[in-house]
Amino acid sequence: MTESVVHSEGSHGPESGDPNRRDFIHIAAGAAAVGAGVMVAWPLINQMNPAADTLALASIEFDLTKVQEGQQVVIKWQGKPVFVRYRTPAELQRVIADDHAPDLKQPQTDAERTKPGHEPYLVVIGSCTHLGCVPTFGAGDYGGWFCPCHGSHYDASGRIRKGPAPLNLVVPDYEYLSDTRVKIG
Amino acid sequence: MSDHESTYVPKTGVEKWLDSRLPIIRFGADYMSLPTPKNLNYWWTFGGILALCLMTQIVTGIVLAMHYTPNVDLAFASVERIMRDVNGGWLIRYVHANGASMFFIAVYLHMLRGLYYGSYKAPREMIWIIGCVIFFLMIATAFLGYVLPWGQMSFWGAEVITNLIGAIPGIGEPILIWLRGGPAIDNATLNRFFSLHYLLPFAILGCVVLHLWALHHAGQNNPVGILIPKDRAKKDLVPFHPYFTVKDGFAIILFLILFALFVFFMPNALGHADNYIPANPLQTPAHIVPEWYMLPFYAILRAIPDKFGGVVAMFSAIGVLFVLPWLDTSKVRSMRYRPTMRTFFLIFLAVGLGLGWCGGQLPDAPVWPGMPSPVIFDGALNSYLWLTRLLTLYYFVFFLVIMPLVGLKETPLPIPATISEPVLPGPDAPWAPLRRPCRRRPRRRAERVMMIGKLTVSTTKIIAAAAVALGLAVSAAPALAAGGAAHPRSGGFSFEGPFGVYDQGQLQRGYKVYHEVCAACHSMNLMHYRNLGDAHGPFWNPKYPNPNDNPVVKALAAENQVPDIDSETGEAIMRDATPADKFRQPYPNATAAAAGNGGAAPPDLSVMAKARHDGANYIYSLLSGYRAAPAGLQIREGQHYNPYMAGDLTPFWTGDHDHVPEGGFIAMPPPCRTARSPMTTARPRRWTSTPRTSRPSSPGRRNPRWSSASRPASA
Repeated sequence: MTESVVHSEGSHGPESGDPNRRDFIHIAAGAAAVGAGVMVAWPLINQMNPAADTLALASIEFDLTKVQEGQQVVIKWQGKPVFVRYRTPAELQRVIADDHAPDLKQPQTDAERTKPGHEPYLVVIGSCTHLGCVPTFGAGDYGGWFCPCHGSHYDASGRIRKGPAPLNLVVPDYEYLSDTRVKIG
Repeated sequence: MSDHESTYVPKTGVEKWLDSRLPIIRFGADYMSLPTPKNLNYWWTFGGILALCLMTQIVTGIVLAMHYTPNVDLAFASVERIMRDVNGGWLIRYVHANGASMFFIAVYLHMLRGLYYGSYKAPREMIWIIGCVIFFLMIATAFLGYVLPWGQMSFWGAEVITNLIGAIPGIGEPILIWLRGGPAIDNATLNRFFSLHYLLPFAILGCVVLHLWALHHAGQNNPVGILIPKDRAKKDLVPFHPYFTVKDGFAIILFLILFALFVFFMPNALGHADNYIPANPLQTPAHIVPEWYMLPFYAILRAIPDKFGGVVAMFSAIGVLFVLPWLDTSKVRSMRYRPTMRTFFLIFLAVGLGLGWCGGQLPDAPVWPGMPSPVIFDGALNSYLWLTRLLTLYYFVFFLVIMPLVGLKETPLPIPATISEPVLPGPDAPWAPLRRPCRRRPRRRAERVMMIGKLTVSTTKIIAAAAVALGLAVSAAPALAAGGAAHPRSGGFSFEGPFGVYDQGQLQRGYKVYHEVCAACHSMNLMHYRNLGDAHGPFWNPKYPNPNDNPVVKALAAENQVPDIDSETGEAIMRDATPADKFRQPYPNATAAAAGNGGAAPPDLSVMAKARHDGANYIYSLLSGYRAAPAGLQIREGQHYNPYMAGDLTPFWTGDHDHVPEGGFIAMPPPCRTARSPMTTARPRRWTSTPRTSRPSSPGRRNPRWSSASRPASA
């Protein structure tokens, strides 16, 4: 600092290693400026986070009787598709048999992905965990879903079995309001 | 700014006054008289071309922003309004959209020029690095801009690319939500992308100023690659103006001809048909690909089996360019004098093109269909996945291994002392073989042969092998392009080709078919009744330049009832439509349309001819393509077999199957109950994609929009 040069002859020069009052003022002013900068920048950055009205759409209710056995219904939740799938006994048997298959990238049993007493119904977010495309129902090698973008195969429990996706289809937070009605979110 | 002495002499009193206060005229004059190496070839003209591209994009972009609405419900329609209703809007939008592609063509050639002639080496590292920043900003800007029309490709491109950031471990997810402004791509995302798309070009402009500043401080490189000695300045340097303004001007004219070919004759050839389908967050297109200029990097992304690894590889592919000046160990700039490096450069060029090609293919598809190959790791060797991986490997090896090693090992050719020497007479000059006129002299062995240690390989053989490999890859391509559906049959339409014309009778019958049949389920939300009387439309009458006055159009409109609000009571009423009204909708909203059609809303037909590959031919083939399903194919109730529809099955005419007779279309009242009826409907569909379409015989003069529709986007 230039003022250190000015005071270099004195006892508080840089050689002595002692910070003088001017150094203190500079550090304090600098710190205050940085703090003020952060405080100015934060609202400008934070304004890009989800707004209150976006967050307000955070939960929906769905009537399960709309889904036929062996079919799925796609509903929109938080701008994303949610698959509600009513699985056939054969599909259910197959995914339970695969609960400990060695090719599971993210090992999970089917029971961990459904609610007790409602095993035939699977509720997952219909976004491929690779790059977010919507997987195609009933396609792929495992009878679940197939993502057309980069070729990820999911089984009927929404677990990733083959392809670039790293994780199983995400199970959102949901609860049963009655035997035929779920609240997602 | 530059080292050369100012030669500007203010003449008038005003100039003198200004020169002593703000020497802005001197600045410009010095700039134009900048001493420039006299041997610059045409590869040096892309700088000027790029300046033109940037200005074109900024000017057309500002104008488009005056008409565009960044809202998820309105964006698509506002872009189509620019195409249809804004005066000259179609031209401005096509210039802007194709201008992005032209910009990238020029920037890639500009970068390859720098790579070949070593323009990134000392003392020009900063020029190169700022150039890399500009390139990165260009990619970001182009991506943001592609999202704005809010078509299917816009939406899913945004989804995939923003998800790349979500791949960062730990902090990826919060950043992703912050970037999108919500849990998914939505209105908040579109708004901020529009804002940033407006901002970034000015950041590019700022970087261009720095780029030029650094360029004029260090001086231009030249094809020989040597620094001009001070004592040769008088002989080897010429003023920028008029020598290079004229040369650049000529190159710009050639470039503009190419530009115009795209804008006027194949404006959608570089785009993707799916982007004429409005964004649907619940359905991903079957095959999503980025714009052509991102394909090499997209290929690298997909080559890596790990999600985050792919993202790192893709950004590294751009990042490695920034450190290029320190990866190249050779002191010789121009590859003219580095035959070994030149061979590797040419292979790199082929690899770059190959990566671009791979990026547009499905990863699991075989490169040579039918050829069996072993499965290695996670894919067959004979697949685009493995071809991409091999090419990606070369891409990085070229920069990280070949560049440093060849620079240390190679023996460059003798380098001329001045840029004049190679072109001066004298057969004994060591660089004489490189001169084009000396064809009779045998080429020196050093040029034909590349030496890597003791291994000697013929350069020509390597290049030939690369060319053959690329050729094979290209020849294998058409088999894959079609995907699952059959290729459309040609309808033999009168409007095809640069001199085609619309047949007004056909257009009128087409409107009848739409009105009486299609309109029962399909909307045409972008069409107004007035469009029927537009120039060269189905009911155009030159007597009524304003179609709203056309009595036929008025009568056709009045046949329909549209919802309105009573201006006195405020109650919802139905009234006769006027030419200013939109076509009557079959359903009040999308949910009702889906509910009435087994869950899938019939698509809007306004831009159907642009929203499918090979538009009009596709519609023609589809409408005439219903037939009995092949044996063994399961068809659910309400579905009908049609080989032209992607996926082979389409619930086209749910309910009454009698409406879809084999080999034909729909039972129609005369005159449409003929084999030609599908063609009749395909015509207006193509026309509605671009209403007010002129006689195609006057493309450049009156209203060249004729060429905008139904071009195969795969071209």
